[in-house]
Amino acid sequence: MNNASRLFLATLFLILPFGLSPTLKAQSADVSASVNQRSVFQGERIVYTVRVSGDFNDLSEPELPQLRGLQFSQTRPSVSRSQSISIVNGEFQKTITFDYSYPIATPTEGQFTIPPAKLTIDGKQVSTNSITITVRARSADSSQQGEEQPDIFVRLELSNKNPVVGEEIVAKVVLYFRENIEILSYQPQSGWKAEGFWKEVLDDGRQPRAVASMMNGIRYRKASLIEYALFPTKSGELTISPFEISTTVRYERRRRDSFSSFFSGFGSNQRNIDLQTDPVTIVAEALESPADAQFISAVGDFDISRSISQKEMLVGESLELVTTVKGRGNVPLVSKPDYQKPDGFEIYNPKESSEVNRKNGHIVGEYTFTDIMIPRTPGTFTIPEITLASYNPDRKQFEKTTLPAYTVTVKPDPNRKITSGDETLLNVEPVTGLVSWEKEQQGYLWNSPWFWVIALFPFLVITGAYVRKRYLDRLHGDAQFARSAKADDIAREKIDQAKETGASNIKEAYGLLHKALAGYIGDKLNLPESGLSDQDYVEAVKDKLDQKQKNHLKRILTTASTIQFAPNTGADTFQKDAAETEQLIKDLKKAL
Amino acid sequence: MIKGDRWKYALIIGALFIFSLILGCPAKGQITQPQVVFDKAGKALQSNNYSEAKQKYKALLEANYDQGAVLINLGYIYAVQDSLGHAIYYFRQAELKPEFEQQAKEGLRYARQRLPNREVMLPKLPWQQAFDWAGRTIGSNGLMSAGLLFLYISVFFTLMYWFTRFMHHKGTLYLIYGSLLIAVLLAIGSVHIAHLQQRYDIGVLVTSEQQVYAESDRSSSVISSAYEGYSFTIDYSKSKPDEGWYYVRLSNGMFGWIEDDGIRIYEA
Repeated sequence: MNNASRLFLATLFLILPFGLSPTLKAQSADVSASVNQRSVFQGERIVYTVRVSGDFNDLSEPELPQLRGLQFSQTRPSVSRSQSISIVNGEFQKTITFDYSYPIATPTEGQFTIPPAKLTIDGKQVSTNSITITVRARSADSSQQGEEQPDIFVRLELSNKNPVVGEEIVAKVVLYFRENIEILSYQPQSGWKAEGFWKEVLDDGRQPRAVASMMNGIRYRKASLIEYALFPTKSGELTISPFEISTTVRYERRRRDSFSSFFSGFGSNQRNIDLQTDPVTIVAEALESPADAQFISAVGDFDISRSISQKEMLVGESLELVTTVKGRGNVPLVSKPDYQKPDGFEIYNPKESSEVNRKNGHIVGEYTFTDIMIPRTPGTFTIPEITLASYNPDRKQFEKTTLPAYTVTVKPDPNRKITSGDETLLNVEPVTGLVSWEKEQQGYLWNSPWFWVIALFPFLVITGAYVRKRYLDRLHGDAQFARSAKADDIAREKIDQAKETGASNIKEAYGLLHKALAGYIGDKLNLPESGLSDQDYVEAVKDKLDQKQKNHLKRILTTASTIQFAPNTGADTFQKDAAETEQLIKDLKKAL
Repeated sequence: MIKGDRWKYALIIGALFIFSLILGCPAKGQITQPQVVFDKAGKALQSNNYSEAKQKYKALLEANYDQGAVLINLGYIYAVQDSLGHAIYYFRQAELKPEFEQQAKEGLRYARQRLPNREVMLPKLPWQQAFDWAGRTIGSNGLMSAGLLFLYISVFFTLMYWFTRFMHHKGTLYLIYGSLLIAVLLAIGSVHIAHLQQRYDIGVLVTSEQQVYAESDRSSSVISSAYEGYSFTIDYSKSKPDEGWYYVRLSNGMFGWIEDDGIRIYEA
């Protein structure tokens, strides 16, 4: 290898590391990060600056690091650029300097590290150094020897830390600052939540004025920036959250610091400082409503009055009942009294209005409630008397006001015409007088047993009628059946005839008895009506009767047949035979 | 049959018929005590003591004296007090009493006209209306009584047809079958109306607003909103009264579920 080659390689060897190195110089550019203060009080802002200085062509905006415990107040930097040219060893060297400045807020105390920021210079990525800062608590109550007192802080000062529910507390936001500080401006942060309180801003129209104050041996000046009236809405321990305020202050230049006048340019001692108060805890005592009055949640010094728009009116006219609560205290929180309204009045939504004066350091004003009612019927109505109560915290007692009763007379409207188009009026009159009081029948008919009796009765009748009809039809259609069915009646008829005849004509009477018996047997057994002898009749029923009955049958038939040959048969004998004949008929009826 | 027997049978049948009719007639009587309560309520109403008047009228209703006069007066009181849902509830019941129908209609017109939300009324199907009308005017018991009457008429004519010659012809048969058919139809109608009355009632919403859901669950979709004065037909066979839900038909024909809060029910 020749020397040219060696020289080339050596040069390459020397240059290459620098070309490959991404973190250090890029074409002679210096990158650094710095802050204007490394130790600050909580709430103060610091300025974080990334400086790039050197000779380069292309530069990107820094990529901001992620912060913990700190926060960038804005991510777009303020950029300053400067350029200088110098001659070094006979050569012109151009130096360009870019400063990227970012404000950082310090909301919490502690020690924090700002990581390196990254940026790209002529295509190569470079990083800055990291920076550690310390944020100290801004506590004005610190009494530890040697601990530094803050130059500026804000406090929330209350007029009362043990109020009753609804009692006014005047809360002042007071700014304390050292004598070497000039307050250029202040801006309360929105969103302050006084949870558990109703708050009203008190405005006396005056600009804040600073007065001298001493605290822990240190001379301060203080100014009341804002005043609020706070009203606790519930009892117990209540904590007022910190009130935040942003200030722009200017520090006076210190004459003993010789450098300060040299390095401090115009505006360099002006700062933006975010301040907040410490949380404040109060204990609100509950109020027990009096038993003999209606408490309308008014706490303060109040006068309560009531008036009515008219005491005589017509149906349909409106009546206004106006209640006024006037005085100093929690005027916006007074609740509407609850009145007993008379029956027959149509009640409308009440109107409420208030006038509140927030000047002079307290809430003063009046609250007006208007109840609107319209009577729909004539008559005399009473709005009863009522006692209302408010609580006076200065006297620590309830103050009661009795509002008198009102009697209202409502007369019918003589000009009102009831027409079919009069749709806004109730054209219904109450019913009076005698009424027919019949109880609504409960239940259904079929729940009553009588219903079933009545419902089933026709079926029983129909069934019985049907059986009878069948009998009659058979009687008409079946001669044998008819003879048999009538046999008993015919036999009895004949026996009755025989009995009637028996006294005067024994022969005829016995003839009838014979016919009764023979006819009965013949009808029942469907025997020929004539041509049969007595023996035939006896034979026909011999199996149906016992011997005694057969003997009786034979004897009666024989006696009746031969009576003409025994004309001296007595009436007693006949009666006996007639009775025997009847018995025989019964026996035959059973047997046949 | 012997001629004299026919008349004997006819007399027996007629006597039985009349006797059974008499059996079915309910005894009637007047009750004086409710009149005293009614008069006292009227005096309270005249002196604008609405609370006392309401209390007395409601006591009469609880004793089942739901006369139209009582319902009209309660509707009037609630209308005057601007409780229009309750007013509609009572006026609707009074509307079912023929002698107070016009007054009730006027009360309903007034109340509905003053309500901010008015319901759309979709008429029921004709046979549904017919059964509703029959249930209101004649009633289930009335129809059943008429059915029994026609049953007895058919039995009477049957007996006449069987046992008399002068009525033994086709015309009598037509009378028998016709009466029997009418009796059966009336009985079926009576049972059906009773079933409808048992199964359905009318409810009126007396609170300001309620939601109607697709299911008996608040998490289900809302199919409609019901406002004060709206009326529903409640179907008890599908409802779940133990769980506080009713299955209802809205007046616009939609069906859904509604909670029982604020619903006053009366028998249609």
